[in-house]
Amino acid sequence: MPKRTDIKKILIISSGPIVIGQACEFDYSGSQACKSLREEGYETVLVNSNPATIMTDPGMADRTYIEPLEPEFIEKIIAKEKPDALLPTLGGQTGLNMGFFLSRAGILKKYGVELIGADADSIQRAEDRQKFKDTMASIGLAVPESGTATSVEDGLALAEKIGFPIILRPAFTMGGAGGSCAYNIDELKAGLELALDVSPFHQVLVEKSVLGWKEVEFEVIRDCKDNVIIVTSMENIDPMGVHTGDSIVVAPAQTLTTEEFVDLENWCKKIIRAVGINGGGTNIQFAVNPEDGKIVIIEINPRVSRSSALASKATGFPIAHVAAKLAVGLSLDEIVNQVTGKTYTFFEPTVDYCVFKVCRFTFEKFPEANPILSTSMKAVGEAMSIGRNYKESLQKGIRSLEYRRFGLGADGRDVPEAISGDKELVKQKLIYPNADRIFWVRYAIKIGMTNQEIFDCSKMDPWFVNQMREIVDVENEVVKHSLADLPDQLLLKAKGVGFSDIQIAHLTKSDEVAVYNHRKEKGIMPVYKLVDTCGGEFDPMKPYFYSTYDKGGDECRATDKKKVMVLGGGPNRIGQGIEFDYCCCHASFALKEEGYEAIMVNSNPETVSTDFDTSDRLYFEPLTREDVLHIVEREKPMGVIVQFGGQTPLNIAHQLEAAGVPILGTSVDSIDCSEDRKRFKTLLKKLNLTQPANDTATSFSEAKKVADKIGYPVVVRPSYVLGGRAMRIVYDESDLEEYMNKAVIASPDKPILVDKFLEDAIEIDVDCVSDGTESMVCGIMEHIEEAGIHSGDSACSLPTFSISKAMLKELKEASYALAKELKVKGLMNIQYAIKGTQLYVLEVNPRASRTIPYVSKATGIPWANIATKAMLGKSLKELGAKEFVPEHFSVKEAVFPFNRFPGTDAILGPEMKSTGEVMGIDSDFGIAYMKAQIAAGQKIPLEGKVFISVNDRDKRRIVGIAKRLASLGYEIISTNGTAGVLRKNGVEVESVAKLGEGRPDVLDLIKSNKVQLLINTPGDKRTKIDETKIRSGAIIHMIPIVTTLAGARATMSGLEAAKKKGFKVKALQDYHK
Amino acid sequence: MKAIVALEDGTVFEGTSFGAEGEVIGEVIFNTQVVGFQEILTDPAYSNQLVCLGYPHIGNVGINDRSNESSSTHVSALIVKEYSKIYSNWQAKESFGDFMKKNNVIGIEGIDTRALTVHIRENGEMRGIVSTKAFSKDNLIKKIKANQDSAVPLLGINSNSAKSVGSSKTVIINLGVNNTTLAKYPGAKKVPYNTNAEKILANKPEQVVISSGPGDPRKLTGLIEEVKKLIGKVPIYGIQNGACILAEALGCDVYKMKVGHHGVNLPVVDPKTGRGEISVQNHSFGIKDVAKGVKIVHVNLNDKTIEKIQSKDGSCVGTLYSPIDERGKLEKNYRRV
Repeated sequence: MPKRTDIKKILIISSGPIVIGQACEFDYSGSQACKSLREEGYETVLVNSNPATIMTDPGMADRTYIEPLEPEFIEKIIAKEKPDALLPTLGGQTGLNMGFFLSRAGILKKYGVELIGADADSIQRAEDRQKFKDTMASIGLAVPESGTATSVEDGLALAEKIGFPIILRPAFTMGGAGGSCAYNIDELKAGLELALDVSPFHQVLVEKSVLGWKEVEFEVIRDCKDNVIIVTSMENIDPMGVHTGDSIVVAPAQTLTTEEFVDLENWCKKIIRAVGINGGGTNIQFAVNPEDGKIVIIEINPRVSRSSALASKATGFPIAHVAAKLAVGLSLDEIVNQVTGKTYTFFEPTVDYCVFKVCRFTFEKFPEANPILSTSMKAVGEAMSIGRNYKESLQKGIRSLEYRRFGLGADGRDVPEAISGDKELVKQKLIYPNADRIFWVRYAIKIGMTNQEIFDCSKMDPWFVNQMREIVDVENEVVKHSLADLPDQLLLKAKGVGFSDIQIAHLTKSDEVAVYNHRKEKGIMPVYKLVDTCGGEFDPMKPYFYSTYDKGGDECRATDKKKVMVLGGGPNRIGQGIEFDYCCCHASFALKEEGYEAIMVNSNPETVSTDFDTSDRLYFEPLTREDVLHIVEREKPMGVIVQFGGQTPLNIAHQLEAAGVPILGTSVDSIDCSEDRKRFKTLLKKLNLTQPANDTATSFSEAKKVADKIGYPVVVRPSYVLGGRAMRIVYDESDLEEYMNKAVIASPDKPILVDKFLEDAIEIDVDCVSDGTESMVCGIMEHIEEAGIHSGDSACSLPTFSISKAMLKELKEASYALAKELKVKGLMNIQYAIKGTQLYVLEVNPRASRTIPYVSKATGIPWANIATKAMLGKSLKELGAKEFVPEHFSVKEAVFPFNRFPGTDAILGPEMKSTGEVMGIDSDFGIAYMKAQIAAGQKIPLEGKVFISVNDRDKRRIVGIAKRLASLGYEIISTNGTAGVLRKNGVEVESVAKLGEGRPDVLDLIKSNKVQLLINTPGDKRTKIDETKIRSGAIIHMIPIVTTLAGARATMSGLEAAKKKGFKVKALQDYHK
Repeated sequence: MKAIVALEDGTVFEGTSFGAEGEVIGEVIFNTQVVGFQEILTDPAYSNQLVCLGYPHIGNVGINDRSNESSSTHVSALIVKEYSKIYSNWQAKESFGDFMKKNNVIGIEGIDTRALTVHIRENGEMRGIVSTKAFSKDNLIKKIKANQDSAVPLLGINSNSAKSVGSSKTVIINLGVNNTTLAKYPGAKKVPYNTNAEKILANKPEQVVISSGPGDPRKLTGLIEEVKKLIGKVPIYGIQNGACILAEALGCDVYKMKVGHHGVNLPVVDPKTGRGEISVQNHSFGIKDVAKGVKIVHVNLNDKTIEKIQSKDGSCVGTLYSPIDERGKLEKNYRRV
């Protein structure tokens, strides 16, 4: 079918900030969609609130809006752009829900916009729990016994009929958000309340649990001619009961008979036809009873999803690219498979390797949260690995996670008590799914448990367990040898089942470098094979590569052209995510522009950098010393870029340099100088720059001495950490004692750093670029929150809004001086604090920062591209780069995963907790701030009741804010302390009881939606428990919450401006004309 | 135990054996599917073939009662990357290795099956030998050269477990029919490949099906002549090699493909509309040109080879793929692989 000519302009709604359940896979799919539609000659309009994405680069879509993903804003964009169609299936659940909502609300009809990719009826058949059930029943497919509830009472009644355990699945949510598993009435009640709250349509499916069944997923695509293909199957190692986003997944499915497999495939075809998708894809999840093969359908996602991104990367089949074309009426037989270059997309991809997806968790950041995995997704990132067998792929996957685990145990990091013979402990760890369960399978094997016993506890298929047993068998052989007497055959076998050099070094009491050199001498090196979509049937034009230890058969396609290698950032985690992928992609684009081949190495399947056409050659490999060195030895690049992939490449930069790998840009020594406390101190002294008073300590008594000298409060943290891990602000000696004794283990080589904490200082971020001689400021950002909140968690504005000209000049001068002294070639980020008129340097990172994409969007200048070219030797002058301060304000706000970790406190501190970011942009600072808040999910009301409760330090200063609120017509509610201060200052306040001092208390107000905004700054230890309850209550009930005075002030400016002027939308292309 | 695969062009791969031991010569083909291996073992159309499986893990779910394509094995040898040490599935009765030993099928594992696949892709399907007994490359290649004639397979002698009651009005000319086809024609009468036309017509069939089977269909000149006699008298449906026989009888040109189609992911489409299905195929012979009046109904989307033909009056239909159900009407027990 030829593509449609009746539509010309298409609006794509993307997924917004990175949150748990919706990560950069939608940057990948959205970018693909833009490219794909523009290839076909359509005009594209893109809206996304996330500035860190590649897709929001001005070149990706014709018109790009960085605006909140709220109906009010989308309608404004539609009114302005007048698109012919809206494509809702490429922007995750957010995009799909928005498309559905706009359609149901009549907004699309009003402006004559057609929903393409999936129509509203199809979306409803897939997402509405009752309609879905009916649709499945109509084709004769079993669903777990269930019912739909719209109230707690409904839910309880249903549960009585169905029986425990019960799974709760809120309608129209993603990543299992708000879902839970209930074993009793109490859990059920709590679960129902949460689920009903979270579902945008207040609907929840109450479902019989099929805990322990096999979980199998398929990706299915159908075109307008009714051609259907199955892209791939995937099987979860963790069976039903663990959210698929938290499960270790293997592709293709490994434990199904042909009949089971074909039955499921046939169901897939029936389902996609019954739901009515006729120009797109869907993800379908089944549960299969391991006892008798019985099949039930769990759910489907009629859109591009996290799983479809994984399926794309696992097979090479670009689902998003194809789905976009199908949405405009093309059919599978008309679209060329770009990887083979000679086949069509009407062809089921096949593989001749095993793919693993492993998940990265972050429980250490949320110590109060329950670390058990369940039906609500908690993973913040994932890595994908490819090997020619299950064992190799699994071990590569584990080492890709960068947890400092280097395979399935045997890496010197095992838990000693696990193999001491406490079978009960091991059993418990197998029964209750947790982030480390895979290692406990190994311990179970080690202490002699059988496949059946391990299956009985974990329900992991015995075939999976035995594969792990085979890994342990090889371990048991290797450990008998020293490196010198390790037989070559055994070494090859160990590498063939995925053992890393670090594991082999541990087992043979050698070291990593020695193992590598030994192997190289013996010729035990990997070969490279292809991801080609077809299992070798065709000679592909644009495959990508993975390493394996097969006998010969090397298909490496290294050329002798001039080339540069870019090391990516690996799996997403808090502190390192899409921002770094943005920089890596730009490095690749810039390299190509300069006539170099770009070689990308990364392990994250969600990213644009692992798209097959981002670089000239992509290696889907772990970012460890050996894996990177192997590629370097084959490709022999003229340089390797390590400064764009966050901490990941920097962690191995030393080792690479020591192995003779040329590092491009700023030297490893300069990076070291900025991280080494002593060297950095000397450097600052030389440049006549000031840092907060500081020292190191290895014990409480030492720390006490330091704190006494520099004065409380102090910031304490361990050395060498990322994202402010275990960092704390300490106000008195008893806090300090607790921290030193409990929180961390200090040692002489890893002392605790004690810094003077600058109270009420303004924090500033500066990004700059340097060509080695000249440097330039990319952007100066003023934080909204005061110093002490991790820079990744605080909102900030570009340009600054309260900094004097003189201070701006001083900031620039200091930045140039630092860049010069550190001989920066490429990017550098500096964090400053300003207290009074004194400028302090807090931290310097001579590498790409988290803020580069945001600064690029705010200024309209591709800084990562410029930096790459500077690294290649071009001067900033040659590149025509210029500093630029825009007239409009771009405000960045962080987005937090607190709703995924019930019971955790929502306060901000020096330890980073956000997963993503959004940007608000407007000529007015207040409006830009409000847009950022709305985009971040803080729906700040323009009227209603505001609850204010602040700590003693803030009491005096809250008065002004409360007065302004009252004058805007808000009603103020406070607890006694704050209320007293406000009344004394003439603010009219309604009092409410503190927790435990009578009812209704503040929590009651929150639960009954009687308050629309909370301003609550954290007090001390005594008040912490109550405050945590209040703040987590607000999060569950989605009431906006402000936890700093600075945030409250910015909110005020926003409210005032919004009330006066209202919101307008404007495309990035119009800001940067 | 050591085992070896040698190709007639001198390429050699070493591995270890699983399944039966011995030595066997056959046509080396590759197959890229990720399930359906028991079916490959037992489908008569794979007889005399040394099947190289690209997918690395083989034997995971063992052997069950429901996946057999006939009552015994037919493949000459399986060439795999990794044979699974255990099997796990509620329906499993025994391991692949035991089943293959019992049925005298040689298995060789530890082979870089992707490398072998790429080699075949580049150089074409060729003859080869798998041995667990002798490893001299020169001797093995000599043996292959001395055995060219075994390309003519034993036909129509396979027994098949499916019952042939004869109540149906379908006669199947049995070149090596598999259970998938038999399931489509419950109660069909099977006749050997050398049955003459009169005898077939004596059954008063409503249709005649020429089944799939192994070997070079062009060599079955006798059958082709008999099929010519059937044309116009009864509707005929030919499957894979059976379609090649029908094509020859209709005056079309059948040829040996450089690389055949063996897999479960092959797109066949109506060349005019682009509408089609993903099909299951196992054939090394194709239809080059159609005679006047014969219509090309489906082509392979990727290599544009002919996949389905139809005579002018519509009474004769040949598909180079396994029969496919109508869209949306997939039957529960109908095996696709």
